[in-house]
Amino acid sequence: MESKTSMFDLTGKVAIVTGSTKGIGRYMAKGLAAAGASVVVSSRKQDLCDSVAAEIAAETGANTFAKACHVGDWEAIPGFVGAVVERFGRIDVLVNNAGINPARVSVSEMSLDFWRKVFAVNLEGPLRMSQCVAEVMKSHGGGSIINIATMAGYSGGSTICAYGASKAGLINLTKSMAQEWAPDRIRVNVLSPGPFMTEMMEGGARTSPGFYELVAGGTFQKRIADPNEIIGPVLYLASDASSFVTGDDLSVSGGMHK
Amino acid sequence: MFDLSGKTALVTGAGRGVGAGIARVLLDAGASVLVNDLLPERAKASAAALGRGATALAFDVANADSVNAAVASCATIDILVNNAGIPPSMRPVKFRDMDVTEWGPYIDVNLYGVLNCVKATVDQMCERGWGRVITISSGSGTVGQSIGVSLYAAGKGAAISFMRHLALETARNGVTANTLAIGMMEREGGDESSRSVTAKMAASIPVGRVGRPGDIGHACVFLASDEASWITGQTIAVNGGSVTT
Repeated sequence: MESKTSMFDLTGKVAIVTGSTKGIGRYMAKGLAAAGASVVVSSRKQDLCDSVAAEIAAETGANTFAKACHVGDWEAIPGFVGAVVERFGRIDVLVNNAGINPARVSVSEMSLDFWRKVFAVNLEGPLRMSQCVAEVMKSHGGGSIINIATMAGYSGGSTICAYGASKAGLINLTKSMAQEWAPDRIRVNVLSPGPFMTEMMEGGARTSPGFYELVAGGTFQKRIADPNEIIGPVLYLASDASSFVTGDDLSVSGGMHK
Repeated sequence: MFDLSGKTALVTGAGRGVGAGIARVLLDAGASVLVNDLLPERAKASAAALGRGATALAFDVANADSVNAAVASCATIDILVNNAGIPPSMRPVKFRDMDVTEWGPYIDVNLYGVLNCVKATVDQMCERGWGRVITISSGSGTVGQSIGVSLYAAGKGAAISFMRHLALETARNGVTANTLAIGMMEREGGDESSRSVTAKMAASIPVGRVGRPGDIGHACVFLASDEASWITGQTIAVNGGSVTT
């Protein structure tokens, strides 16, 4: 996986990917590790973090650190960031990937509890995590924060209203972070993924007839992406190759409309 | 990763400035580069300076016949970077002060230049099932400004719209089409007063500097690579965080 152009290289860098024990988060963690970064693998369950971190270390030879964290728990995040600093001494890249969409609930049927649960993980989590990590980044001259949103953050949709609204908030929050922290050499951008063939998507494709065609049909390329296709975009935004790009949102969606 | 070995890229307006910078980074990533400029001597000098893998290819992007003849003389073009453009004049002119005879070049080069080069190369990309079209546009293409660049922005904005449609029409053929909306760039040379204007502009950009050719070049390498195969129809702002939407 060596890059032809050294600007994409992450040797000596430290990267956190939240929600990285499954789905595209796991691929992003693997890609960052293969590009030379030491990678923090995190999700809510420590045993899963341990096994995925070991797997990525074995596959890429990179240093990995397994540390569970529930990003919806505001109070837990400073301790998590502190543990990373204790282990690696710095943080260069933060990928706020952890997100939830626990059930399909329409606007009419929305409850305050459900709404708050989604916002706690999808919007307050990245806020708290970025606040804490930005302090570390400032102390050693900057870094790159990548917030993972979704195309639903633009389009909305009845039964994904809480998810979509929380991600729309994250897209906007990204711009505020980018402006506030630009003088500290911290860049903040959004990646908005379209459909990827993750475990969740495979399940849908297996159990619902016509699911693949429906989802693929929403993209220009009429397909669902291989999860490896998220790696290049993450490396671009994480590395010095994008040193003049901040406050932007990049849709990695086979051409879905923003 | 991000390896363009075996690919050939045509970079228009690569005789100097941003275009030459894009060509440099594409070469470093392993591509062969056709270095276009309107002026044959500038294309030649730039290709010579870029060295191995660079070949001069002079033509006027605004002239469809010249574009077609030049492209027909090349074996294969995998990557097209539409960089040639007419910049706003150093002395910006408000629309009300412009004569109708002054409009042409901005649309001819900034829009028709893109259309001509895409038309000449996209069929072969679709037939081979792999291609990349990258158009260098400007933040002024999507946001209004009162600095007297309306015709320039009209051409650049039209190119952004065109690219979105091109992306959709070629999406099933392995071709991606994306746009870079660039901001204030470093100018070569320039006198004391233009340098002080640049310094003032830099202070207004969140990251505190103007853009460099390498910034645009690396974005091109990324979009041209197999690693960006799931990105099409997008406009990426490479502008140091300036708010353009």
